Amino acid sequence: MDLVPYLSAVILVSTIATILLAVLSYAAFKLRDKRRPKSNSDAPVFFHRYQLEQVAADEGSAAANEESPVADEDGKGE
Amino acid sequence: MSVSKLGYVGGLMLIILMLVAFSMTLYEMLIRARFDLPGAFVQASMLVLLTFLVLLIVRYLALLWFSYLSHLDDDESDDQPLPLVSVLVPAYNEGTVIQGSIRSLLELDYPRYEVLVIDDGSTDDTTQRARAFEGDHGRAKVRVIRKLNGGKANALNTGIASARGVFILCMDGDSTLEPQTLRKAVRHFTNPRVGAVAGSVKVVNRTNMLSTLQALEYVEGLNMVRAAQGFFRLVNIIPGPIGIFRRSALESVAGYDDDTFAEDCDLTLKLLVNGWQVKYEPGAIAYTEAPEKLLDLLKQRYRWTRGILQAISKHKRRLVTPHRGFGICFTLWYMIFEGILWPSMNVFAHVLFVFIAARYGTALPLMLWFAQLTVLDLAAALYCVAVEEESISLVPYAVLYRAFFALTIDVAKLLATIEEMLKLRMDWGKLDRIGRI
Repeated sequence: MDLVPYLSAVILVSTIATILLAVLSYAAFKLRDKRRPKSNSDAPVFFHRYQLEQVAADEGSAAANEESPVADEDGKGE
Repeated sequence: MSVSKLGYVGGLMLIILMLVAFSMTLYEMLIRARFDLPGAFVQASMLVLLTFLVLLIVRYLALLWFSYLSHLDDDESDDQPLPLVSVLVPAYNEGTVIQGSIRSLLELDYPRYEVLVIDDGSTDDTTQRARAFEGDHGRAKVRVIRKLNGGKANALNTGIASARGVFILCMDGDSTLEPQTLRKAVRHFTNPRVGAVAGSVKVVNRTNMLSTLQALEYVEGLNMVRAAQGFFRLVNIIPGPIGIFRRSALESVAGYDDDTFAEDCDLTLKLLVNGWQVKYEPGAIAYTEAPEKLLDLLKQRYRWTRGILQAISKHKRRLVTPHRGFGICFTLWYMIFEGILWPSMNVFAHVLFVFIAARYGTALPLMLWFAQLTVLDLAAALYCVAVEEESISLVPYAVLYRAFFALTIDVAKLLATIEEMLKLRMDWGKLDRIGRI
């Protein structure tokens, strides 16, 4: 029995299904992303060289805000 | 590499060579199938795809060969001085995983190191959980720095500025490290031209089909490539979950920039552009959580794709100036091949073959294309599980990887590339942690 036509048909069907699923999933991802609350920062980002004094200042302000969580100012995270 | 492992890898290499020989046969069948198809457009497209396939076969063979040489090239001595290392853990809302991450860091087999957790303005209990570990732990000292939210690059720069180590390990807040990681990585720095060492990333949550396929992808698609690039000291992406840097190298390129969404790739390219060598160490292992849902995976790949394109774009002048550094020029072209050309050609090939099946009633070219790539993937997977000492049970997943996973990711990459070319707005899109660390 020649398996090639059957295998070809299976791969054809799975390929069509995968392409459709991939495009639909991408659309769903974009839609979900759009519905997420947007960050309010449109400002361009620039590189800052951090110095120890800067870190100390950040640590100081963080300590001051210890009891009240810091607001997510521009929506960035890791 | 030990003698027994050499034998094991050597045996597998034979199987791999047989698979590659089989792929040549499939290629020849694809050439013959082409002549049966009418139409100038189809003929021309097939010619383009066949040419591209030659590139792909060369790519697989070159990666396998240089990755093998890279593993044989493991001549770094273990009897090296072990200076202070700073481990930076940037964390933004990592409350569910941060303690597991710090706990794994305290078990590192290294005489003297510090762990710096940089809380990037989390709104959850990340700081409180991290502070539970603050203080001296014998060989390790833990410090927690809390700062206003500014993004990962910003957090890492803050950590670099306050780090005291000669070498700096940057990782993700959701990763854990193997105990030998620091010892294995630091020995590469005896060569003063080595500015950084990329570690090996492995998926920790192999709980469903999607995350297991990613486990295979990390081993075959990412680590094998890094091993081959490591042979030339030209690794192009030091992965976010584990990168070890010479402090002076980081300072010479002014740390991380925050103008791309792939700060790890951007930093690596900056190091290469500035003449530093970047190596790969398979024994420096970080375990990370992979997305378990398709939409989360697409979100991650969307950011990776656009971020990498942004990083390439920053250094695009080096694409046309090979005389200023052939290594970085070649690396950038290779990144374009992997990031743009391959996904586009793969999607194009599938659409074309579906069209041929519908128009001319034959799915044979599609089957041959699939078989060709699957055989190459199987060969690469076999090799990678051997050298990375991974589970052999990952190998059969190469079939599903080629049938569904790669095509889905390539469609997403292609659409993300189009968005990047159109300069559509994007934001960071942090993934929700599952908490399996």
